[in-house]
Amino acid sequence: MVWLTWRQHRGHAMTAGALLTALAIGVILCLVLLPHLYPDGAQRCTTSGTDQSCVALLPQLGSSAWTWIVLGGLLFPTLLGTVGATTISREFEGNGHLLAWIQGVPRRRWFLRRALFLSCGALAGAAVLAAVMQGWFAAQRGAGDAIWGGFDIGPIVLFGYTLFALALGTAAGALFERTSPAVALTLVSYIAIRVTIAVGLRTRYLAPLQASTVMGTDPAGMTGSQLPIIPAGGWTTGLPVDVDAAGHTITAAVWCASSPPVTPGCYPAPITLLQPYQPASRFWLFQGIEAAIFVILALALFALAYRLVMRAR
Amino acid sequence: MSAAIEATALSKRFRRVWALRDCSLLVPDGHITALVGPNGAGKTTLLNLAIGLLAPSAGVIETLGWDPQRHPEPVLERVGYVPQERPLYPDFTVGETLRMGRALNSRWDEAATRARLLRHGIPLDRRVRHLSGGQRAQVSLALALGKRPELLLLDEPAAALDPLARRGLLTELVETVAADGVTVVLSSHQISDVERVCDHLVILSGGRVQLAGDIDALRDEHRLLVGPRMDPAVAAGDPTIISARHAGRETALLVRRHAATPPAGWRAEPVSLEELVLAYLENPAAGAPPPPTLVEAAS
Repeated sequence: MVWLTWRQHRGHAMTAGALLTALAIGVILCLVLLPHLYPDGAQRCTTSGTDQSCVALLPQLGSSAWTWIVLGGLLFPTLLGTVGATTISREFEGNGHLLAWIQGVPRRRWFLRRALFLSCGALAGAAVLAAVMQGWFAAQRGAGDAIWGGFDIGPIVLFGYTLFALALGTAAGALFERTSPAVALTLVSYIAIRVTIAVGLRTRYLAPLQASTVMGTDPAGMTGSQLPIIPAGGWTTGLPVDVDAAGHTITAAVWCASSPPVTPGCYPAPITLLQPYQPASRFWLFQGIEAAIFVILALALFALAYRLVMRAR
Repeated sequence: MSAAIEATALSKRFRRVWALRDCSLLVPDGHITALVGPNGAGKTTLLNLAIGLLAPSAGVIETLGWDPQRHPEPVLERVGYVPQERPLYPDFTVGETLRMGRALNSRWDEAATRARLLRHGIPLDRRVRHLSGGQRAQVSLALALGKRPELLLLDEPAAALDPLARRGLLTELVETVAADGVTVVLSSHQISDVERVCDHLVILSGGRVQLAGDIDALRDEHRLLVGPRMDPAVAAGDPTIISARHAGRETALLVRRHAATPPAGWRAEPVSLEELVLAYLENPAAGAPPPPTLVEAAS
């Protein structure tokens, strides 16, 4: 079963292998080149401006490597989605299911072993990619990359996304029994679900912390300079909210019945400006929560695919 | 005599269409049974149910004594099946196809399978998509036989083969059965093929078993009675009359369970298998075999 699955997916494996190898070589080259170009560390190169060759080359190298890493991180799961979408549907298209399901391995085992083998391959690929990306992050830490900005290509969620995309493709393939619609549905719904969770759910895994500034009653206090400052590495998760002393949100209507212009005394004092944010310390917890969500979704989709395969004729 | 396939009140429905309905039959062990019927009679459905590719909508089917749905392992290990589509992975080489067979079947016979392909001059390094239709059929059959099956199911094995290849394939089948004692069920449109290799017959029509039994016994049971022209309405009312032809001043009746001597003025002639099968296929209402079918007839 392992050999058969490998034989049928070796093209995919080679594509993924080439992608990962290219990324790894690129990152390793950057990691080797950067210290040579600037032995005192990347930080000083970007700030001092003394070494002109470094100043010119380093950001260029860094940004192009970064682009490739982001692309790799985003594309790798969709590649596995395509693998999943073809693994079952291609069998139906070429009547291969009639060949596979009449051999000595029952359909149940045929599906479970195939799903297991592909999952292991996908997770191994994700591990390589995560290692490459972490290598890059480690080298760049001095440059002060925003940690939350790289959440979507974080090393933990990458496993969840990859497994999810594979399961989504497998279920779509079992549903349509045809490759093209299965791949299309997989890609569209993968992006839709990723965006929905990233935008709609991620900020709510834990109630955000609030950074606050007391604004007083002076309208001058409403200028930008008075906005709360969130701790370093924090992730601003929404617009700031104005609350009164009792903690009630002040809406525009309450703000000032007599606006404009805003005059002293037209709103209750003192006003506190609250800025919700997620602290940097929650990054790994959130990675874990999001990965768990996608792993659970993946298991549900594999279960659906299993049911569809067992009922197929 | 034990049954290789035993179906009891077996039904299979695809959405609103009944592919098989209330089908009861016994396929005896150690024989070559032909499954004959018009297109859409349910032959492929019956074979797919027997190996467990399909689950029955109602009724029971047992293959080699096992329910293929509840106990797929022993059935799949012991039953070789060559579907009508001859499914093979076109991008695999013949050698890789064999490797797949070895990987998926615990009773795999590598040496015999290689020898069989060698005998037919099929190179192991050729991709399946570059094989001729006849070679593909041979690879499919080799894959099914490589499992060392106790029961071999063949759906239209001779379809799309030239006459020479067809004869070769059928001859090989008979030899295999004789050598290994494999039970074979083959569906076919070619009555001449059936006559050449099969000793048992099941006629399926409209999803039901119309006639089943040992071919020699069935031929013995039926006679063509030729006599003076009779009223077609009288012939239509007699259940022992399977078909009636009225031409000129003569009437020819194909009858079952005939009297030992024909009525005065009539002569009885033996029927060929082709005449027998065609008579039943032309009259789907005829037949409905008596309950104890193959086991009794075969023993």
